[in-house]
Amino acid sequence: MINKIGSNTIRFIFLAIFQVAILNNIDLGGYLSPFLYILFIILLPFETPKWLLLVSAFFIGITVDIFSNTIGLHAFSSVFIAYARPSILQSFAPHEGYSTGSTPLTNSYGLNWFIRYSALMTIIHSLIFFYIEAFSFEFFFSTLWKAILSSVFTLILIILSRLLTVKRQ
Amino acid sequence: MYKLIRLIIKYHFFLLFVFLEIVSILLAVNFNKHHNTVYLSSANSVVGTINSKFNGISTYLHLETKNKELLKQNSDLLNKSISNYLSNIKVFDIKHDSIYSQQYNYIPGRIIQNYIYNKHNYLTIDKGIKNGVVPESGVVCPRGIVGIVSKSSDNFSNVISVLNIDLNISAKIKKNNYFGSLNWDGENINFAKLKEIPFHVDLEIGDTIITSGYSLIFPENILIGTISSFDKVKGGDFYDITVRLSTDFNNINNIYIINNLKKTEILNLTTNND
Repeated sequence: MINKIGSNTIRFIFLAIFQVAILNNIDLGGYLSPFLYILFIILLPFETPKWLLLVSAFFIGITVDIFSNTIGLHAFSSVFIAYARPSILQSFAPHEGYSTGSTPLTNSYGLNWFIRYSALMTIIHSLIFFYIEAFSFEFFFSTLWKAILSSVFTLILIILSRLLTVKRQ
Repeated sequence: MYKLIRLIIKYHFFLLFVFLEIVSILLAVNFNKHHNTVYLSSANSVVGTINSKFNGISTYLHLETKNKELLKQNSDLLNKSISNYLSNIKVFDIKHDSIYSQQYNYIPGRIIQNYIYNKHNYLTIDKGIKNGVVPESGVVCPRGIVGIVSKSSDNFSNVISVLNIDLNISAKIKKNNYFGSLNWDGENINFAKLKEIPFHVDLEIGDTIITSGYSLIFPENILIGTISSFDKVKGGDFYDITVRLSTDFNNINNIYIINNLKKTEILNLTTNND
């Protein structure tokens, strides 16, 4: 348990810095803005207390917000996917259920399972983020386009980062 | 009370979710409203320092593009340097010729303000006394006449537009040289009235109207427009002619100011006559 708190804290710090220092400076045509930091929320252990899920999602969201001058937007969308996470996990659960003490990593329930789960989390996050940012449906299709492109890019980064860490293990 | 606490514990996930979302929304709304919430923005000193460090790295990565931008800006500025240009007055220098003597001098200029929505319209051009523009010079554009300079400062001039109901311009019909005076009636910016053409003159729709050259302002043969309709006014001696102006006042930019170099000589002569 202590070990898990430690590793997740390190992941929090690392992902926040990576997001703020590198990914925030990537601007490909104003459309692609990857949000790799949500990998932190995706990778929290199954048994994380629900309140801690929300609070930690809020904190990583607000941290990214402060550095990218989007106060509240990342926090809002992060808290939302943290709230949706238990239901999403349940809908993707294998027949025998999740084994106790495991984390939603690629190697626990297969790459295919991991991609479906994180794809849903990413697309929900991107849609909420970009529609709240636009704050209207006036630019409905350009916002949708932006959200889809960004979530695809985010998902690619998530899978790449998982594959890299799995090999290292 | 106990029930309430139990309820809160039971639904703590949902309630905490709602609470955190409300906090986020409030932060988002207030952040945009009050720019003095510096502590939550990148203007905060800690965040600012960290951001500027990151920025330093990315600045280095973008050096090449920045260099190109600066080079381009430099070359643009060099191109704008005054030594690259001949003065506009010199370009259109007055030529001394023993057979022909130049009467009109053209100074190129640009319109910087153009009103067409009033009855008394004026334009502003970017040439003034320093460029040799004097009041009562004619102003023309490639498509026709524009107006007459009324006032000049050192660098700018005010021009009475043809679209000014107080301006009369001496005009003539190209094919038979009958002349009259052209005046805008203040209605449509594409049409003006030509007056003082007597009934016996043979007119046709489409006849070209040009400047007469009888005033000291415009040289002869500058296009004004074409006759779009004419009418015999009952009880009068003159036609009521509507002229379609060749100049599109909605869309003029480059103009020429015409200086009459012999104006003083002619004026001296006519005043001596009196």
